[in-house]
Amino acid sequence: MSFESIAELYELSRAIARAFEVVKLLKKRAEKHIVEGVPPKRQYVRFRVAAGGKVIDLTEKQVAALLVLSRTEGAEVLNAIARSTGLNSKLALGLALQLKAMGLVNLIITPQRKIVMLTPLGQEVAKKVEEMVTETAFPPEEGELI
Amino acid sequence: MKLTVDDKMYELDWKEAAVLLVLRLVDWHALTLSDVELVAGNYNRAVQLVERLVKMGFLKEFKVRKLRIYALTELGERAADEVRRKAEEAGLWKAGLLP
Repeated sequence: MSFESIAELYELSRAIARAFEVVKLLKKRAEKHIVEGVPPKRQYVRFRVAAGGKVIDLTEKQVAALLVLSRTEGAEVLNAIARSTGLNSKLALGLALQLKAMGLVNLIITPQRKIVMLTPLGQEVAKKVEEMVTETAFPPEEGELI
Repeated sequence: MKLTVDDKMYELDWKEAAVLLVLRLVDWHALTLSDVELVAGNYNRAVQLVERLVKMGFLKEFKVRKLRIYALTELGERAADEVRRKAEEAGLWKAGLLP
């Protein structure tokens, strides 16, 4: 066996030993952070948006989450969405999973941190929702000068 | 260690190989920078390590405010599988040792 192959075996064994040790530790830590998403109850459809060749019904919590995401360049930590929508982490995760099932967001999940990112369809929907909300909140006045 | 992935040769040190393996082995397939620190030993080394792996195309970075999360790219998955194959071939990958 050459010196090079012995050195490589040594490196490989160190990599495996460290990887196993860290995976064991991370899995142990993850047990303390298991949060199962529960969709918020009493949700009513408030918005209907046509995007990506289909009609999408959205509840006010879903709209709130999309607005938060569209105003933070399309990505946000789940905790920030929970704060903005007034939900706890369990319900916020449930909401994010609902949006994921609708194809509007992607979720990157680690035990301690969760990131929610808008998909291209989600960006389109968020933009339309933003316009609808702005129109409702600030309707154009009659006889307004342009 | 030398790795050949898609007919291209890469040279990784053992900590870089360990990060690829950890990402392949954890059920959630993503790591924060502080998770990488556990492999690297310290913050600066962890930053260097992920930067190099991202540059090689093995990791993708998701950045939100100060939080950075790393996941394997498809190339990274193949590289991690290659490390595992090498380990199995050398008899270093024992099922009993798996966490």
